[in-house]
This record gives sequence, structure tokens and C-alpha cells, in this order.
Amino acid sequence: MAGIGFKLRAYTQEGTLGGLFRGYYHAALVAAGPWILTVISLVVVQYLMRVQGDETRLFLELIIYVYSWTLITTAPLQLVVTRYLADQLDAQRLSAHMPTLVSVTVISAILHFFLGTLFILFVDINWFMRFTAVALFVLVAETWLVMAFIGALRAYHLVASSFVTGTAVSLLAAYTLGRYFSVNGYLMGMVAGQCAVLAVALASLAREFEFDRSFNWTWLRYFRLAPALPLAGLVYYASVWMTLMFYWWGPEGYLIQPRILYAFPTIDLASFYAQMTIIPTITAFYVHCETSFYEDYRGFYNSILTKRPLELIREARKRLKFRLRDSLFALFLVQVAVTVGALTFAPQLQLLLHWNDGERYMFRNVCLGAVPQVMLLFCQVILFYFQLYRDALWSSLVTFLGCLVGAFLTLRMGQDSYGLGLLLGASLGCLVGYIRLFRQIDQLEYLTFSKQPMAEAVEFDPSMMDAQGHLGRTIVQNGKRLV
Amino acid sequence: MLDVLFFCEGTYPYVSGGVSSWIHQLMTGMPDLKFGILYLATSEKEERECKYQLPPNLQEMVEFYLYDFVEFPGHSAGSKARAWSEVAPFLKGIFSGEGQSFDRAYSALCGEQGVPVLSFHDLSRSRASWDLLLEVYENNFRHASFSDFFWSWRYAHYPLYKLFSARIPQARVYHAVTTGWCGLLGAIASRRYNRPLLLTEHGLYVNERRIEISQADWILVDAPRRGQLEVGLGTFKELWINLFLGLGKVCYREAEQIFTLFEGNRKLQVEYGAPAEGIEIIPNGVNVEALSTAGQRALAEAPDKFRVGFVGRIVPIKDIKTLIKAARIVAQQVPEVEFYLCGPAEEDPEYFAECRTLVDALGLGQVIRFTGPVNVRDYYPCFDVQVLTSISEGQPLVILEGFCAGLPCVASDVGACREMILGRGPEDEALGPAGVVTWVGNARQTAEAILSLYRDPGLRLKMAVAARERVRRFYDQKQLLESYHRIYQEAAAQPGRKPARAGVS
Repeated sequence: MAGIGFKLRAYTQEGTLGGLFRGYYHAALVAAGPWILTVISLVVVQYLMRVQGDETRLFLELIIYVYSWTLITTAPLQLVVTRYLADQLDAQRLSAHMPTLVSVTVISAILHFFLGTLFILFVDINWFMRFTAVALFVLVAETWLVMAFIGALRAYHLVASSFVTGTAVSLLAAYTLGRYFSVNGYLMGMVAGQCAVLAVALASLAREFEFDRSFNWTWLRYFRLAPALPLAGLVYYASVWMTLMFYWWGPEGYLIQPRILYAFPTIDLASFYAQMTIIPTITAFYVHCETSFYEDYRGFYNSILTKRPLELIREARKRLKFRLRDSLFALFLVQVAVTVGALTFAPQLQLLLHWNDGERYMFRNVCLGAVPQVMLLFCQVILFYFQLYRDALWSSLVTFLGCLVGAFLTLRMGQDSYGLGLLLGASLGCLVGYIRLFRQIDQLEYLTFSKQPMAEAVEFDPSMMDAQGHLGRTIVQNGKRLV
Repeated sequence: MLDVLFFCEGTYPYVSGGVSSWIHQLMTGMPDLKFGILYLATSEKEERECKYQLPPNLQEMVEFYLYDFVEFPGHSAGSKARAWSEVAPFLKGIFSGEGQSFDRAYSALCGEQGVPVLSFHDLSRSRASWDLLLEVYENNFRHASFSDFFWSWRYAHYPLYKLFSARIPQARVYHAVTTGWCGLLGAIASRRYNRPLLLTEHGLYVNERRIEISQADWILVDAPRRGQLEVGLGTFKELWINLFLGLGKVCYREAEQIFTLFEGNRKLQVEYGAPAEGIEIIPNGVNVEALSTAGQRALAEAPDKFRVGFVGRIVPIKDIKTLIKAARIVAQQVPEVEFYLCGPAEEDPEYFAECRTLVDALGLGQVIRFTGPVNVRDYYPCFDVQVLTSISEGQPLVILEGFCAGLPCVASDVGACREMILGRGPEDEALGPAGVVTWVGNARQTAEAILSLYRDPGLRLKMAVAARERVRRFYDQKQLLESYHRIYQEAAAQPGRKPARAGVS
């Protein structure tokens, strides 16, 4: 009989748990951070350009298209790479980071160049503007990915030094150049700013992390190992942005340029302001994750690793569940409070920001939708945390369908209800997500143990089996030794 | 189709020893029958070297890797809930040291038409398997470490499930040479092809596992609970022992005929759950004629030397350290003594290194020689006494081989050693002792026995005569081969397997 050791999967060890936790916490930051920065950028640009003419509108819509679509298209890459980097950090394979970043940026550049070119060919603008728009599309996508890297590698100081500064520079450059070269100038300024962001971030990352080869493609196999993870991210972002995009092609949406560049600035503006209401709750979630949830999460796995009886493991799981439930309720109350505040002061904001009535109604609607949306975001992060990717995907799919149905309904109900699709979709997504999350937490012992791989597992090879499905290796046959 | 298929684990043809020699003897002694071997190995990666010249009538040999954890695809059909209700009593019983409900479990795990109802995934990762695991834990182990229980369950069950998918060559008769995994595989083969299963136990598998598990340091021994002064073997060691006890009972129940080598073993088999009636004793046998003929001497004649020989593997179960300690006592009084330890040492290099260290520490470098694997027939004539200090044995062939060369034996009181040396039954006992029986692990008694033989050449001569006569009359290979040939022919002539025994407790 072989000497058989007992070991749990590496990820349940302390260091690994921390790695996973931080990885997914920063996936949360990736989820919220770009959104917040996008909102800030657009609100600032829109505010500054408000009184200007059509050309400014064209620039603004190009930026909205670039930001919104890149967030959707990079989501799968961001989540997969975050998961891969968390695993690499746990295994202390630091030299894999930079080659991974290089390969991710190469894939992203090719993908976004192709998508951007395909789209921009249908937009009736000059070739210079087409070129800068595609360049911006590629660069912004790369920026999201670099930010995901910075988050996953816990190089937080680079966020301040590169991303925030770079965003500020690009806004400033766009505004300054735009005054002299109109839309071309705005775009060039944004491109220059994004180049600055990437240059600073990549140089800093290359300085901090050693690398022994140019490319690393092993992260791609995570698409095969956990296909639900990138899909969940893709569908989640698609759902949130769809509640906006839907109206671009609605009866009130209009063509900024002939062919396909549609827009509905009223809801864009209202949405961006409304989305800023989730910032306090996201901050509170961050604090919660770093403290009590991590302790409870670790407590559960520690109870297994320290060889406790099942009764104590169950107690640790119940504590995790109840404290998570209480914390989520508290976060919900924070978001409700912020939303109530925003709605209460909506008339004052309308006066201050020169909104029309439509914008105010849509601000109200999206504010209401932001409540379940932020709770859905937390749900997704926690599901990712427990590696419940399928549940996250289900929740995303329900959100997507809900948003779609909701948006259709609001078209019938009239402009005052525009934006309520998010409320419906995110609420349904939340419902499905939390039901699945708490059901899975209720069987966390089962999920944890049943997924454990056997130590020294051998990959199945069809040659191990005969036609009858029996395992074994023939050594002698008809008196002749085969091996 | 094969006539006989043996199920071997850690024996023939890769590990030399009593059981392996016995299998080789049966195959070479019955050239008219076609044999097969199903060898259970720990892993495909494990290095194996054939220790025997495979006979031409060994027609098929399949290796099955027990602990290569492969998540092989399963085919499943039918009602899983019903299948679980069939399998659960068997799995629960196995952990309690019981072997009931194997027949019901077999049909769910192998399927009526060869399509199993439960797949490997169902058995190892499904919610139903988890619920069963919880039930066993809650009922029997609720205060023990759950993770250790989980891994014990999984590592114990994995080979269990895997065996049901083993490739088994078709044969007229299946013959397991131990219980445990081999015995279970024999039971599966017997049901799969509706052919009879025979079981011959040399040493008792359950007993050997019990010793091994008791000494294992990789199994957690739980701390005593409040108010508890001793924990005994601990929850998990008992769990593993129960598993092998349960597997043993399955084999006892499924085997149509059970054989063993001597009376002591028979009693132990009954204790471990074999039916009290129907166990037949067929002792080992050796080729008396060939072994009695003096071979080439490995060592030059040296009348001034007193040579003591040990023949066997250098492994803990042979308790070589007691032999070394006894050698020191003898060497202190008989400077001309020489000890030859003849046998392979590669099976447990760590233990071998410890033995060498002990030899050096006791200053016995000139007294004790490790020869490695040698042709022992050339050594027997060179020895004055044979010694065997094992802590567990069946019916050691080396004693019989030594007897053929007229070699008295000093052996510990394990297995069949006592009846081989002192005789079994009045007729045998009348021949007189052919050596001295000592207590297990008692170096002083072993040394005194060797010294008594050294001091009394007349006694040695008397014992040599008794030894030769005993082996000729009661342990001749011809009798062994005739017995098994008859048994194989009778079993092969049966139209199918007989129903399993109901009364195995």
C-alpha cells in the first residue's frame, strides 16, 4: 500500500487564499475603477463641451463608443488574466507576469484593431480621424488590461502614478488641442494621454517584475478550464452598457454621422451622473472585503486545514454566511441612502447642471437601477471569489435578459421611464445571483471537498481503456511479452 | 481461454518471496494448463523488474494500477437513486469491517448489461456520494478531523471503484492469493464471467495490513478527547483496518473454496470472517528430489567455521535486527561463527541501511555478510544452521528448502514455523524436532538456540535426519501439485459459479 499523504488543494492554503482574495477584490476594482474613471472623464468633457456644436458631439460620442465597447470586449480578458495572475502569484512564479502582459496586450491590440477598423469603416469621417479613433480604441482597451494587471499584481501605487495622472493628462491635452484642431485635436489629445498612461505603467511594471522570455500564452488555457468566467464578465458588462446603448438606436436616438454612429445624449449624460452614486458603496465594499469577509472566508478554510470536526467547519461556514448577509444588507442600505439623497437633490442638480426634464427623469431612473446594479457587482465578485463561475454566468445572463426586456418595455412606456431597464435587469440578476450564492454557501463543504483533485492525478488517456471500457495494461498476450 | 488466472499484489513476478515461488511452482508444475496473471501495482510509474523466468504456459498478464488516480469516463444509465440504494449498504459496511451486500453493489457498479448505472463521477464527486460520506462520518467519526476522514474515504474508495472497471482476462477458474484488493478483484471477476473463485492465503492479508497500518506514520492518530487516557490505534488506522477486514469478508463470501497452509492460519481466517467449515489445508511443497541433490557449493568447505544462514528479503517483517543482535551474542562466545544473510535488499533500502549501521555499530563487520540475491541452493549445503526471525510468516519455503539439505532451523514462533519444525500430528511429531522454535523478537533466545546447536553436533545430526524425512513425507511438491491440479480441474468443469455464501460473519 502506498504511503498516502493528505493534502488539500493549494488554494486553500493561507498564502493562496490571500492571493485569490486579493485577485478578486481587484477584479472588483477593475469592475468599478474603469467605470468610475470613464464616468468622470465623460462628465468632465461633456460639461466642458456642453455649449459647443455638432463636431464636439461627434468627439464625445466617439469617446463614449470607445470606452463602452472596450469595457465590454476586454472584460473576458481582464477576468481570465486576473485569475491566472492570482494563481501565478500563489505559486510565486513572478517571472510569468511580464510575458503574460506582453502576450495579453498583443492579443488585445490585434483584436481591438480588427474590431475598431471594422466599425470605423462604416462611420463617415475623414481618414485621419478614423486612424486616431481606432488608435484610441486599441489604447483604451490596453489601458483597461494594464489596470487589471496592476490590480492583480497589487502594484497599487502605479494606479496613482500612471492611470489617474494619464487620464488627467489626456483630458487636458484633448481639451487644449481640441480648441485649435477641433475634433481631430480632441482625439489626438486623448490618444497622447492614453499613450502616456501606457508608457508610464508598462515602464514601471517592467522595472518591478523580472522576465525571462517575451511571451507567455499559458493563461489562454483558462478560457478552456473555466469558460464561464470570461463569459460571465462579458455578459455582465454587456448588460450594464446595453441599458444605455439600447436607446441610441431607439426612436429618440439619432445619427451623429450618417450610417452607424447613433447616440442618445440625454440618457448618456443622465446615466453617467447617476452611476457616480455607486462610488461610496464600492468603497464600503472594499473595506468590508479587506476586513470581516476575508477573516470569515479564511476562518472557514482554516477550520478544514486545522483538521476540525465537521461540526466546527459548519459553524465557520454559518458564521461566514450570516456575516456576509448582514454586510451585504448594510451595503444595500448605504446605496439606498445615497440614492435617496441623489433623488432628493435631483431638482437642485438639474438647476446646477442645466439638465432638461428628460435628463432629470433618466437620472432618477438610472439612480434607481444603480442600487441593484452595485449589489449585483458585489454578488459577482463573491461568486468569482468562491470560483462559482457558472452561477455568476447565470446571474449575468438573467441580468442581460432583464435589461433587454426592461428596455423594450420602457420604449413603450415613454421617455420618462428610460433607463428603468437596468433596474429590472439588475434586480432579476441580483435575485438569481444571491439565491445561487447563498445556496452554494449552504453547501460550501460539499463544493470545497468534492472539487478537490486527487494528489498525483494522472490524466486520462484513451489508450488506458479497452473497447469494453476496462482499465489495465496487457503485458503478456498469447504467451508473448508485449512490454 | 485461460484455465487459471491468478490475482497478485506485490508478489509474482516482480517481487520474490514465498507466495511468488509458490505461484511459479504451480505454473511450471502444471505445463498442461494455461495460466494468466492480473498484477495489481501501485502505479504505472513504479519501477518493476521481473524476478522470474516466465514459463511458456503463462499466456496472459495484465497490470492494473491501483493508485494511479485517473478520472476515467464512465457510462451510466438507469435510475441512479435505485443504484445508490444498492451500493450504499456495501460501502457503509466496508467501513465497518463488514462485507455484506456485495452482490447488490456489483450489479449497480458493473451494470446488468455491462453498462454501470453509477459513473466514476457519481461515485466520487456527486451529491449522493457526499451524503453517504456524511452519513458514515456522522454515525461513526463525528469527533474526528473531517478532512482526514474525507481523504481516507476518498483514497480508500478510489481503488475500490476503479477495480470494478479492471480489465480481467477470461478464465475457467479465478484464483486469488490474498484477500484485500486482490480478493475483491477475484470476486468481481467471478461475477463478471460467472466462473468459480478460489482463495489461497499464505500469510493473512488482513493481519499484514493490520501490522503495516499500526506502524504507519502517514495516518493521523487523533488526540485523546477529554477524560480519555488512551486512543489506541486511532480513528483512521481503525478505519483502514476495517476496510481490509471488510474486503476480506467479501472475498471469503464469494470464494467457492478457501485454502491455507496450516492450522494456525485457518483459525485466523475464521476469526477474520471466513466460514468455520470448508477451509482446506494444503501445505507448501518443495521439489525434494532436486533440492536434496547437493548443488555446487557457494562457499569453500571450512570445518573450523560455524555458518549460520538466513534466506529471505531484507525487510522489517523478517526482523533482521533481532537476528543481528542474536549474532552478536553468538559471536561473543563463538569467534569462528559466520552469518550469511542471503536475499534481496532493494525492497526497503532504508531498512537495509539501518541494518548495516547496526552491524557496524555492534562491530560485526567480519561476522555478518549480506550476499544480496544469490542461488540459495548453492548456499544451503554450506550452512550448519538456518535461522528465521520473522514477525509474520505463512509457511516459509526456505525452511523446507533447508530441510531438503538437512539443515536444522531456528525460527520464531510465527505462521507454520512451529508445526514445520516440531511436526503436525502424531505421525509427524514422531519424527522428532528439526530445529528450535523461539519467541518473536527475542534475540537472546535465538542466540541460545543457535549456541545449543553449535555445542551439540549430535543434536544437529539428529535434527537433520528429522528434517529430511519430514519434508520428504509431508511437504513434497508432488502432493501440492496433485492437489491443485485436481482442484483446478474440478472447478473448471463447473458450468458456472456457485451462489455466494450467506453466513460469513
